[in-house]
Amino acid sequence: MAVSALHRLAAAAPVPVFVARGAGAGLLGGELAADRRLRLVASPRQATVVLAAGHFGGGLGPALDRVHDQLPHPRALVWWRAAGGPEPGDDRPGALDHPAAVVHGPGGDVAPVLVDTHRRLLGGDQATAPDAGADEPPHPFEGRGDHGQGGEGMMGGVPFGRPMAMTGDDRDGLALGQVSADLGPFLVGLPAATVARVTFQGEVVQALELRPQAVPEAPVLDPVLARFDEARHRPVPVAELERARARHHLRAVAECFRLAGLWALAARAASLARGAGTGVAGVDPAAVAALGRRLRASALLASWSGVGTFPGRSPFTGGANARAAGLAADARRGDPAYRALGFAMVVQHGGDARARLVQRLAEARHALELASRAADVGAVHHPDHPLETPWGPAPDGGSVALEVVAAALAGADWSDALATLCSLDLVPDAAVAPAGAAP
Amino acid sequence: MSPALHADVWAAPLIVGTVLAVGAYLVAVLDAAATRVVAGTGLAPDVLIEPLRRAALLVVQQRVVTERPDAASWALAPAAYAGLAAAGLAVVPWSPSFSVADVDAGIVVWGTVESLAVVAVFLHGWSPNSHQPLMAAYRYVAVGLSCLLVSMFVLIAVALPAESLALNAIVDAQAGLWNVVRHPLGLPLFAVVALGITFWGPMDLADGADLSGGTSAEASGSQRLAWQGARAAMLVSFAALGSAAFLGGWHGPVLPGPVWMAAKTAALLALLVAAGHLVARVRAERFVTWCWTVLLPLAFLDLVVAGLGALP
Amino acid sequence: MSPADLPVGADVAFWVFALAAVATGYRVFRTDSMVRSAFLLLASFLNVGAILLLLSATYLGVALFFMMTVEMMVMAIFMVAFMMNSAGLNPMSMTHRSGRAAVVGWLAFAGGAAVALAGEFPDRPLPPGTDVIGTLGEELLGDSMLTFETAGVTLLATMIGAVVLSSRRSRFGDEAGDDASLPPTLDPETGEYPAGVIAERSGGHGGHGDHGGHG
Repeated sequence: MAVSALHRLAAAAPVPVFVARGAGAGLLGGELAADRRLRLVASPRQATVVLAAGHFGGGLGPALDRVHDQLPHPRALVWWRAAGGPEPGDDRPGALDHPAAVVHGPGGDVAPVLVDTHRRLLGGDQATAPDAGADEPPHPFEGRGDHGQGGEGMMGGVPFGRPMAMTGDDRDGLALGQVSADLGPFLVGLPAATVARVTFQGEVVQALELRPQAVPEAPVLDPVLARFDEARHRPVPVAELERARARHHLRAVAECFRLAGLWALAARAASLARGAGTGVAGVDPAAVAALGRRLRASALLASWSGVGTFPGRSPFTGGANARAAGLAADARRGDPAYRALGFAMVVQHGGDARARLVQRLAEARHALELASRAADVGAVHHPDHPLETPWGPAPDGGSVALEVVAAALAGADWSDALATLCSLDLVPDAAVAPAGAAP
Repeated sequence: MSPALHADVWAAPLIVGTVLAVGAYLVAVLDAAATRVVAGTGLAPDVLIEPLRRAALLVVQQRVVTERPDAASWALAPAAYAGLAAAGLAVVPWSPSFSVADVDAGIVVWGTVESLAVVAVFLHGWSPNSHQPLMAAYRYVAVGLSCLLVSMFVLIAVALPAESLALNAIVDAQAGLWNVVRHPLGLPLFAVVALGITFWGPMDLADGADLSGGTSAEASGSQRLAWQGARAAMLVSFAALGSAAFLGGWHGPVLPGPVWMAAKTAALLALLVAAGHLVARVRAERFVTWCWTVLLPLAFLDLVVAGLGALP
Repeated sequence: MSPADLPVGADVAFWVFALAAVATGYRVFRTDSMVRSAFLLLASFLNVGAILLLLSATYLGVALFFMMTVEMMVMAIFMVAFMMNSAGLNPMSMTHRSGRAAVVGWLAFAGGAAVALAGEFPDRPLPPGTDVIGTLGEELLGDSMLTFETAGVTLLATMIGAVVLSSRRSRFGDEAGDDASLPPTLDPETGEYPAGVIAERSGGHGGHGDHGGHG
């Protein structure tokens, strides 16, 4: 029959997946771009499966429900969660209450589960997931108002209880309308589990507020996060640390590629990241160097140069962001295990998004070289020596308050602001809401 | 004299429709192939059937409706975009004796096609009543209008040696020397314009990932399929125009005219699709500045070169 | 070719386009969204352009399409930029001062109708084989060249002058353009404060001013 033939064709298509990262998920999910059977998409409307990775407490639960409801039918949710840890919210039914499949632990192989879910959805073996929230407008229509609101008069009034966008302070001499919107928390480029409340005037950001949504002490799903957490308390082989570092930086680069519209190059970076994470031999640094050459040729560097600079002194005191601004600070210099391996610091100048991208690729490559040398020697990192995580020196991570970053982005185009945030790869801990604060 | 139709009234839509359908499929296959090659996942024969599978998925998927959209415009936008692609393709000649619609102001028809295309993209972003598509739509209009100006100068430069605005005459005038050699600036500028009006690859400011898919952020199911199909069709039409205006059209040894046209169109298509995977998306503000300060003077220069060449 | 020789299709097409032009023109003022009204105006002009095509003015008709499209597109953009009002969620009325406008409208209609009914229109069908575009080109760049060239350059100068005169210092910088969009410095020594303040959303209408045009 025509219908089932169509469904069979559709079932064989690359699965469009929307990745929603909760707390403790780092940059998980980006590596799926390397799988030919999957297709990571930018909008939930394009997806059939939403991959919910991590912990969804606090404000993330309702956000996930909203995103889940935006997927067109047939749809399903696959939950990739850390083994153990608190349940998101037993008293509030949500999309996570009836996932099509659950994958446990960082070692879980998600790709076959996604493909299988999609096939079952289109084959009719899996029912499409019902709405997680009520299908009501957030601001119901309030009818005619006392002052001529509700569709009358020149200004149109205030239907639905929502104030109309009014003009704001001028930009280039024009008094344009301003709109406030909440974007995130699963938007590509935003820090993990963070909602951006933006006041737009055209495409220019008038004001930006970054609000973390995650609850503290969420269980960690990302193996990179877990590895560096472990290194603070126990001796860990240097090779594994460096491979985890390379994996993270390559994932961050893949996110930037995705944001810039270079899907195929993002898939290549993702496959390198996956290679860095699995296997004994890891991935060849020369492949990372080749990716660097592709990056130069892609005009991404030209496109992102001059974007995302912090005027005056750079607020970063450590981590890849500081080194991209020319600050030569790396905690690995103080570790005798690294010194024995011939650790050399990599520094860029410029402090813009371009420099940060180049820095991450260079660090990934250097990390892989160190890893291969360390594997031969069997070097081990001891917890009493300083530890350099991909986000900066432990324990404070060299983090910068989100307010500083947000304030620096006022006046930028939204696409530039996203590019800046993506290239910064802000520390997950800084994105955690303090205990007791409302999301 | 009303525009003369060399083909029968029923044959015209059929021919244009077939060419666009085959062309759109070719664009999808080239896109999938380019993705695989650049990503390093390996080229396999299933790249030929992948577009059909993805289309089947879109047919089966639900068409989501947002809160209080402009339903008429939202449905009209892909139809208008595809219709404009068809109108543009109709004026392109396929052989010395055949073109679907031999309009004596063919270049101006293309100007209309491009400007109405910008309107169609704007409508597609404005209609869903959603914030990110709206932002993408008017961000794109700035780029689209800038490309429009450059395109007009480039196409007029092509009309000068032929002393006619009709595409037939323009192809005839390339019998001795192709325009890509006669005015070398023309084809690169035209490629930028083509990418800009079809918002493909580096110019994908209308459907970009930084706005969650831009004007297509709320489109799913049949709406999305129609829009992607229309975009591919427009790319095919631009490639056909480029072949006719710069690459000598149906001129070529041995093989018949239509085969050469098809080959040149396919080559231009491959170039445009590959650019999408190898060049990052431009920043809107920087591109508009560059377009007005660099591309437009280059287009003037191209026009001057063409004029000087056409003098004696 | 006398009018009797024209195919019936041309007559039918003329009436279809004429009625559509009037109908869309009417809808411009009865619709409830500024962007829709801009595009309905465009549709009205496209119909007029189609009639020009029927009159064998191919170049003029297509050029009319082209120009009206770009004009209405820019108008729609400015409407959105000033009012950020998406598809019909904030319905609004398109008419100002309806009484006065109605009087003026009726007067204009009466004038136009008088001209249409009482005027003597020439009946000079084009000889077949006329090179319309060539003739037009020779007129534009021959006898009337001075008129068109000075008009064109004057229009360009006016547009540039209007933009230069109207742009002024914004929150973000001294001049218009790139500088105006750069963020201010965070350096505490110079005393400039960061611009990260969310604009106050007032309930009232506060100083919207005149829309002008089709607002």
